Amino acid sequence: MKREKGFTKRNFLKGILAENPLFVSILGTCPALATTKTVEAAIGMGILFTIVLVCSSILVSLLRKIISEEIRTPAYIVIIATFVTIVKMFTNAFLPELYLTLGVFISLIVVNCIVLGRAEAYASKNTVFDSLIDALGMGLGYTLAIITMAVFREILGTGAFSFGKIFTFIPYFKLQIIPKGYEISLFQNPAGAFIVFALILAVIAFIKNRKAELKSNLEKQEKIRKQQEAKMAAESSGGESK
Amino acid sequence: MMKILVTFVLAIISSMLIDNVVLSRFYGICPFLGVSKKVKSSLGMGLAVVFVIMLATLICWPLYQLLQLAGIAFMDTVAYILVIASLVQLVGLFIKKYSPTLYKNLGIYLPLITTNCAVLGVVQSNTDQALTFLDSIANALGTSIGFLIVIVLFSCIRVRLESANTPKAFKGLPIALIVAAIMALAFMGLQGLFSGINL
Amino acid sequence: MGKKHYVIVSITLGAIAAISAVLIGVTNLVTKDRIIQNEKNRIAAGIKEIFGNNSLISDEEDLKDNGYAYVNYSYTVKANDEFFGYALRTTGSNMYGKISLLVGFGMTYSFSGIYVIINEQTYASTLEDNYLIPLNEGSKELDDVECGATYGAKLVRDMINEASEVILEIWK
Repeated sequence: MKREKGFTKRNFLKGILAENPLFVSILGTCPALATTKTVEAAIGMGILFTIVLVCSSILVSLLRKIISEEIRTPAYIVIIATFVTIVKMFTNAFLPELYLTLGVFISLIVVNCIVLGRAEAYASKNTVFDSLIDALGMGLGYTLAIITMAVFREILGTGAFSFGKIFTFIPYFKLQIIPKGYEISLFQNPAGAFIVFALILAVIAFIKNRKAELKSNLEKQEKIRKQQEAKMAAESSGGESK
Repeated sequence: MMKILVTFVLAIISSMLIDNVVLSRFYGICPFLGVSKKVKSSLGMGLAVVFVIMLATLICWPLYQLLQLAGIAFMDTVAYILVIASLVQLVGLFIKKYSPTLYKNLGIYLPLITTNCAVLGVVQSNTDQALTFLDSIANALGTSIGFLIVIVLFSCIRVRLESANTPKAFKGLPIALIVAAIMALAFMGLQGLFSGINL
Repeated sequence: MGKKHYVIVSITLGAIAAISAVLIGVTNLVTKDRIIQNEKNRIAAGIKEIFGNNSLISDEEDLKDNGYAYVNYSYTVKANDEFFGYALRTTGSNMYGKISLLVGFGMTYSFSGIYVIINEQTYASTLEDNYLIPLNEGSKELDDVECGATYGAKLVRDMINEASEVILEIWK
């Protein structure tokens, strides 16, 4: 099979921008709202999610010729649940603070539509290497997306940015950005999570609309120019024929 | 006896309203946003979720006790998700056979329930918190009815939003999320609803 | 689609399930000790928080079979080889999640502090800010449970009340 140049790079990057699982496909919204109170928790969630996605994509891709059509979904679910359980145990053993912070949402990676979706839509049809790249891109895209949400929620909600509470191997530090007493604690609440998500989606929609408008404007101008050219050509040819 | 009953009812109401699945625990956001454009479909989805959550809790609670006896309690997530997936399949087949009309209305949402975190979330947190069987059922009932109420209310508002004059960038999902935020604020007001009742 | 096909399908499913069970089992073996050690570390940190930096656990007793509703372990605390007090580990849960506390009792079986080991309540931060921390500082009464997370506070109150009864029994 011959492939275009730069396919791998595009395959990797599509998960981050063009097909971002959270902001474009609106998948995996539960952890995106529930684990974004602090940036640290979001980073932890993103890492665990990426590990599960990469591992299950590789295995599904390896087994794509063995697993037959009718048992696909149950087989994939078992594979994903296995990796989630393994990741959960390792988190409990080596990052206990992260385990306590995320709680039941580590188990809920099993039912994250992105993991099953990528397994069904991509890994079950493509080679191991392509699936790995796709999973890495999607995982990174999702991680960056939830970190974006967490940055707004943590800074607006607590007025400060702190690190080192969950990843205890990093020395604890706290950076007060908004003076104490002026923070908007609404953003730490569920309502704030919805608002931040809504605003980010609105900004993305705004940028897209702007781009579409610019494009259609350009097209219009192009059309008018062509029409004028055609007119001129017709006129000049008409003039010659006279 | 009376006390048990009161506790049971209060537990249902509290997990239904005060600690609502969608608006305060963030389970099941995907169907909440995805299947709420029409009132009818959201009602179907909500009812299907109530049914599956109840059945899954009834099966998974004893199953966890068995796993514990066998000393493999760490297999819980795998077992639960298998139970839920096969339950969803079975319920689909059952409804298809006995009530084709209901299947027609409900059928398309059934596969979506497997990946609804509300189902696995409730089952998993019931056993993680070592709730008793009665408490688990109360939690499941309250949670699933809470989901039903919120998704139906949300879809009623969303139908109105279609014709509302919203800024272009907010059209569709962003304004719906703002609505969800306001609903979450309203539900936050129910906190401490039963603080007067002495248990 | 003959019989053979179904046999192959069920064998693949069975094999996947078996492999997953083995993988999880192995991970469990690898991580089990570490998880128990983490729990011990957390309790030791809690004891230090309540009784000061020199304190150590000298003895541990399992009270799970004694029929208490919440209390499940008792720890004897020593500092510089002298008896210092007791700490009880108590775990409870309600609709909003699980709480596990370490309740410390000093020399004169007086209440000397609590340490939160696990707090998985939905309104965890409300409970800690408005009830547990003021309680620990002595600026709030145990029975004053109105704090925005009333259910959790009631649970904590019941847990601490039971712990104070249990400590009297242990003292005898």
